[in-house]
Amino acid sequence: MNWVQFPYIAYTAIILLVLSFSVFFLPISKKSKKILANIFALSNVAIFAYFIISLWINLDRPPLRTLGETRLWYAVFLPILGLITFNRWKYFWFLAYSNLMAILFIIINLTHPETYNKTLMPALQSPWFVPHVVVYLLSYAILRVSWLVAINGLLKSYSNKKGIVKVLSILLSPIYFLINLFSENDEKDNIKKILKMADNIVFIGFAFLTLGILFGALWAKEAWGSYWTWDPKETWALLTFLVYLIYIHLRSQHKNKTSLHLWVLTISFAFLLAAWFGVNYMPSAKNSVHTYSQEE
Amino acid sequence: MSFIVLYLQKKTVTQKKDKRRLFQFPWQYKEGFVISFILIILGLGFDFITKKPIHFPAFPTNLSLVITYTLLLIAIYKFEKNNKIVKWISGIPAAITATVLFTIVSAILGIVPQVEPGVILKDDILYDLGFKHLTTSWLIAFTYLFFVTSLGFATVKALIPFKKKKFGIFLSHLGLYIIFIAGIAGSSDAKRTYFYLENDAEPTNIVTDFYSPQKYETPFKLQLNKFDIIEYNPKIVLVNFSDNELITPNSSKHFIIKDSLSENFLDWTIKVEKFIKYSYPTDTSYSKFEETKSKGAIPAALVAIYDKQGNLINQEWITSGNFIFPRKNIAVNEKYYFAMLSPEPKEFSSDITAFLPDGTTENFILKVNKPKKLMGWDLYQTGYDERRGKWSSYSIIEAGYDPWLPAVFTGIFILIAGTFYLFWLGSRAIKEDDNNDNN
Ligand code: HEM
Repeated sequence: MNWVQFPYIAYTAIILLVLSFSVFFLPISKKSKKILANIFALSNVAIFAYFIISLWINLDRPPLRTLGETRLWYAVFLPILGLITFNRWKYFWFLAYSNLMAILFIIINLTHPETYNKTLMPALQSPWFVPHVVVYLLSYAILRVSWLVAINGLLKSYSNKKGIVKVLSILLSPIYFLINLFSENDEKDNIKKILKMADNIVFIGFAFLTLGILFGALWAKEAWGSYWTWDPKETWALLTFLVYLIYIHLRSQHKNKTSLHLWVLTISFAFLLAAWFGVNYMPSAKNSVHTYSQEE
Repeated sequence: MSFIVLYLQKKTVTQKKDKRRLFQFPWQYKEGFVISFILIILGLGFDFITKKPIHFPAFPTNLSLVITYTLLLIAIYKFEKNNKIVKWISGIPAAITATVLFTIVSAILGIVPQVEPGVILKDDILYDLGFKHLTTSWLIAFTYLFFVTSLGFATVKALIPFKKKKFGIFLSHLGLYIIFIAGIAGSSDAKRTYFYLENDAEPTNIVTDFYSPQKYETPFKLQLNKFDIIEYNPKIVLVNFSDNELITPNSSKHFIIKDSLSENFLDWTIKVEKFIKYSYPTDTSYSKFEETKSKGAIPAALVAIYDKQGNLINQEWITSGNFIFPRKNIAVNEKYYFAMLSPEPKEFSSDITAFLPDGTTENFILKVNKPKKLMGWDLYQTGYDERRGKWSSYSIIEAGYDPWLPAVFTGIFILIAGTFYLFWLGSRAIKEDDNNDNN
C-alpha cells in the first residue's frame, strides 16, 4: 500500500474512532460501553498499523521522516494510549480526546496529501529511531492533556472571578467542554479530584518522557558512540523531565496547596513547549545533532 | 522558579505564622534555597579563581569514592535517621530545592553555547564563570553534589523500611541514582577517540583523542580493506534559472529516479528513458555514458521532456557530476532547467581486518548504527571524505572505551522499570491526602 490508498484507510479510521467514544451516549450498561469502545478503537489501530507496515515495506525505510509520516504514528498510538488510560482510569473524556486528536492528524494528512520521499540519512536508520520519536510524541501529547486538565482546574478554582478568566475559559472551552461532557458525577467540580486526574495523566506522560530520553541515550550510544552529549535538545528534554519531577514531588506533600500545584503544572508545560519548538532558536543550538528536523 | 519560592514563603509566613529563624530546625524550603544560593556562589567563585575545567578523578579513585559515598549515605541514614539534618536532606523540601537548582544550572547549559571540550578561552567572562564549559565546572559539581545526595537519601528512604507499594519509587530513585553516579564517575575513564584509516595502508593501532591532539595506542591494529557507500537513486528537480528556486513535482515533493519513470512538473513531463547508476561518459560533450564499477563513476540518465500536448521539447543525458566530472542539466526553456541532485547515502560501511595481540585476525564490516565490540572498545563508523563520497579513500572509525557503561545501562533499565510501575499506580503512587503539610 502507499499514499494513493490512504483516503480509504483514513475514512474508515475516522468512523471507527468516532464510534469508539460515541458509545458513551448509548443507553447500555457500562460494561457493554467499555467493550464496544475497545473493539472500535482496536480495529482502528489494526488497520492503521497495517497501513504503516505496508508503507514501510514499500518505502524500504520506516515512515518517520516527513511530517505526514509522523502523523500516521499518532493515529495509531494516540488511540492505544486513550484505550490504556480509559481501561485503567475509566476516563471516557480522555478516550474522546485522544481519538479526536488522532482524527485531527488524519484529517491534516487528507487535506495535505503526503509527500513521497524515499531517502533517509544513515544515522536515522536505527532500531531505536522509531521508538525514540514515537515515545516522545506520545509524552508530548499526554503531558499536554495534563496541562489542559490543570487549566481546567484553574478555571474552576477561579470561576467566581470575571474578566480575563472568562475570556480564557471561552478560549479553552473545547477541553472544558470535553471533560464536562464525558465525566460522571462529582469528578468535574472537585479540585482535588481534578488534580488526581492530572496526577494519573502526568505519571503516564512522565513515564513516556523518561523512556524517550533513555531511548535517545541508547540510540546516541549506538550511532554516535556517546550516550549523553549535552546536545541542546537533550538538555531541554532533561529540563522538562526536571520540572515535571518538581511537580511530582510537590504533589507528594502539601496536598492542600491545590492552586500552587495547578500553576506549577501549567508552567511546566512551557518547558515542554520550549523543548519542542524553542530549541532551534536557542543560541546553543548551533551544533545540534538534531538539526535534521529542520530539513522538511 | 522564583515564583514557587515566593509562593511557598508567603504561605509559610501567613498561614503558619512561622517565626522560625533561618537554619533553625526543622529546616524547610527557605534553607534549601539558601543552600542552593551558597552553592551557586561557591561554584562561580571557584570557577572564577581557577579559570579552567575540572574533571572527576579517574580509576581507581572514582570507584572507591563512589562506593564510599554510597555506603556512607546508607550508614548515615541507618544510624542517624532522626538527626534533623538527615531528616531534612532525605525529605521533599531538599529534593525540590535541589531539583530547582539543577534545573536552573541545566537551563544555562541549554541556552549558552558551549565550547568544545579541551578548548580554553582567555579573558572571556562567561568562560571564566564556567558558563561556557558548564559540564566541567565547579558550579555543576556542587549542583550534582546536592542533587545526588538528596536523591541518594531518598533512595535509601524508599527501601527502609521495605514496603511493596514503595518499590516502584525505590526503583525510579535507584535507577536515576545509578545513572548519575556512574555517568559522573565514569566520565573520566571514558575515552572518545578515532582511527583514521586509509585505503591500502598498513594496519595501525594509533588513535587520536576526539578533543585534543593527544594519541593513544589500542591493544589491536586495524586495516581498511574497502570503504563503500550504498546510495539512493538520485532525485531530479526542476530549477528556476533566475533565482535557483526548486520547483516541486505536481504529484509529490520529490522525484527519485527509477527506471523508465516519468513525472509532471508545472506544464511539462519529464521521462527517464535510460538510467545508469554508475557510469563514465564516453566523451566530453556527454553524448553517451557507459556502465562501470570504476573509481569516480557518476549517475547518468537519458531524459526526455514533453510539453502538455505530448510534443518532445528536448532529450539529453544529464548527470549530477562529482569531484571529477562536472554536472550537466537539461534546459526546458530560457526560464527553467531540470537537474539531477547528487545521490544521498543510504548506508556507508567499512570492510575492516583487525589484528589482535594473540596473532589472530578478525574480519568485520562496520556500518552506521552497527557498532562492533573489540577487546572492551566500541568501534563506530563515523566519517569519510564527503567530497568524494562513495569514492572516499579513507574512513574514520570512532573508537570508544567506557568501562562504566554497563553500570549506566543497568541504571537506565531500573529507571524504566520504576517509572512504568508508577505509570500503573498513577496518583496512588503519592501518599493519600493528609493535612500534615509540614513533613
Ligand atoms: C525518575 C525520577 C523520580 C521519580 C519518578 C520520583 C518519584 C517519587 C514519588 C512518586 C515520590 C512520592 C513518595 C510518596 O509520596 O510516598 C517520591 C518521593 C521522594 N523523592 Fe522522588 N522521584 C524521582 C526522582 C527524585 C530525585 C531526583 C530526587 C532528589 C533530588 C528525589 C527525592 C525524593 C524524596 C526526598 C522523596 C520523599 C521520600 C519520602 O519522604 O518518603 N526523587 N519520588
